Amino acid sequence: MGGGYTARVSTRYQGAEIMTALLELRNLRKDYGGLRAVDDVSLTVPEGAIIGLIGPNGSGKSTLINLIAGATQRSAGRVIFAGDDISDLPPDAVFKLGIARGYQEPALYLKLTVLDNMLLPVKNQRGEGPWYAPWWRTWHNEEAKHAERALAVLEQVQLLQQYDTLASDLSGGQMKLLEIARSLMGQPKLLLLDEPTAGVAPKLAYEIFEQIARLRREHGITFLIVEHRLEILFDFADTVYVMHLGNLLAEGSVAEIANHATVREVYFGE
Amino acid sequence: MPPALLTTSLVNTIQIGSLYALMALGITLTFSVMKLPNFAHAEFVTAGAYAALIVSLSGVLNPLAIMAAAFVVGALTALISHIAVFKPLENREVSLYTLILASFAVGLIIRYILFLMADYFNLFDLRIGIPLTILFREGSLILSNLFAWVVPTSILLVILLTLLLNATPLGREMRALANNSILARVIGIPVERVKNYTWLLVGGLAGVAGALWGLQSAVNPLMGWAAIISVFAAAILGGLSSFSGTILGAYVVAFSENTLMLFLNFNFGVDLAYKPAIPFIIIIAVLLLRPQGFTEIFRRAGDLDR
Repeated sequence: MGGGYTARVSTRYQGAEIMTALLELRNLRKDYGGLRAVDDVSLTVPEGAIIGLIGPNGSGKSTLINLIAGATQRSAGRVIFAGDDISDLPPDAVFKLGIARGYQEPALYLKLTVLDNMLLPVKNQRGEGPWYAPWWRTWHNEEAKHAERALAVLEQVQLLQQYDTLASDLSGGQMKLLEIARSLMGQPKLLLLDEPTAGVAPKLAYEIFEQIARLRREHGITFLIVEHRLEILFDFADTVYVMHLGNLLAEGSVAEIANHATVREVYFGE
Repeated sequence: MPPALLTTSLVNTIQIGSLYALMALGITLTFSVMKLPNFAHAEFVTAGAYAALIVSLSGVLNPLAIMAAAFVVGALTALISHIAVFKPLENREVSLYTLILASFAVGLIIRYILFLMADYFNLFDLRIGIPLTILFREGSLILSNLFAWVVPTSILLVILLTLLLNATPLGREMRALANNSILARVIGIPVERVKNYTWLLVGGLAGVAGALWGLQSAVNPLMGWAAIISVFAAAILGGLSSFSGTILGAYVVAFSENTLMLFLNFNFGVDLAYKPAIPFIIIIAVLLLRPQGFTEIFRRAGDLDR
């Protein structure tokens, strides 16, 4: 009896601990043949935080993102999201739970319009069933509501004017914004962004991060961001993790990381 | 070439072209959404034709009921092929060649099941017997109610399919799958469901095409197979990705096989026995000279380009 009681207490304690952490990686590992891309990484992403993930090329940042999103199978370790083990879920199930992601190369439907891109992730649309699709009346109102929401989000990221253009006709920065806007349509809790400012002009890069900060402020969305432009990231991140050769090298506030001796050595080559 | 023959052949071009369009759109849709050049499409057509024939032999002579039966049987044939063969193969990530060969195999299996059935019940070369009436007669040009069923139905279905694809949430997901199927999973599109629906739609339309084909000529287990090269030629003219290109391609193929063939026969003595060569010539010419087909002509409208 006593043992049962202890077990229950410890479960409860763990539950309480997880409440504050939206995402938790426990001893995550990924081997590609002989190469260990991610080596025993444990980290915590608190709800509502903007977490930066930095490190030199090939340090395992993108692999880590893929592991969380379910796009890559882990070799060992666990991914805990909102208290649930999501280590073995496929990408669409992970997305449904509220983890959306952006890519280095904006992953958009280039042959579809901006608005179409926005409406695709909306869950459980009536008109996506074959029995309803031919009957415009059955889904038109719902569709109009989704479109209204999509247009409102597009307005926030200043893409309203372009709602009917093909995604392929957008500029690089606009594509990034559309990608973020689209992930909002799925009402995510956590956004994983892989270099959201790669290939974007400096001014627009700053704007993208301002949008990120605003989304956190207004919608309470949590961000895990891989970024190479440290000068911008450091203006917005709460906590920064540094990866090197698959390992977590350091963790800390922006100030701590900027002054971390080992980090400066491997990252800035000092 | 006598004008009477010209008009008759043009009527044939329209009639056959409309049916080719209906079948070729299915191939374009399968190739775009499922990344599968499906040769078993021919047998979805035949299965639909037999469903229509059996319903008509059982005494139902309403063309709409006949077509509905053909749709259901064609759709189920396609879905079963997907679930039993294509999906397991896709899950194993086999190469395109394996999928093409598998589609030939699926086609063969369905074709010879239909052969067995036709043999047992003696259902060879029968026409789906709706009563024939002459609607229009001008010299040698005769338009029957068959023409009035085949052409408007095909065109209407082509329009409905285009609308479904371009103006509904289901169609949006199909276009998304055609455009980037890996991304589709990541942003939460129910990929398997959309694929199932696409198969139902493709098979159903093939079935209706079979019923219409059986109305105008005769039903036998080889009818779909006999048409498939022409239909593929039409789809290839559409670059296997463009809806408008495929429709145009269907009429180009039908025109070449009917009007152009007769013209060559009359003026240059080309034997009509060369007719089956036409789709092959078209396929080879397109692949050599213009592999993208008509896709560049219709940049935007209904493109399923990947």
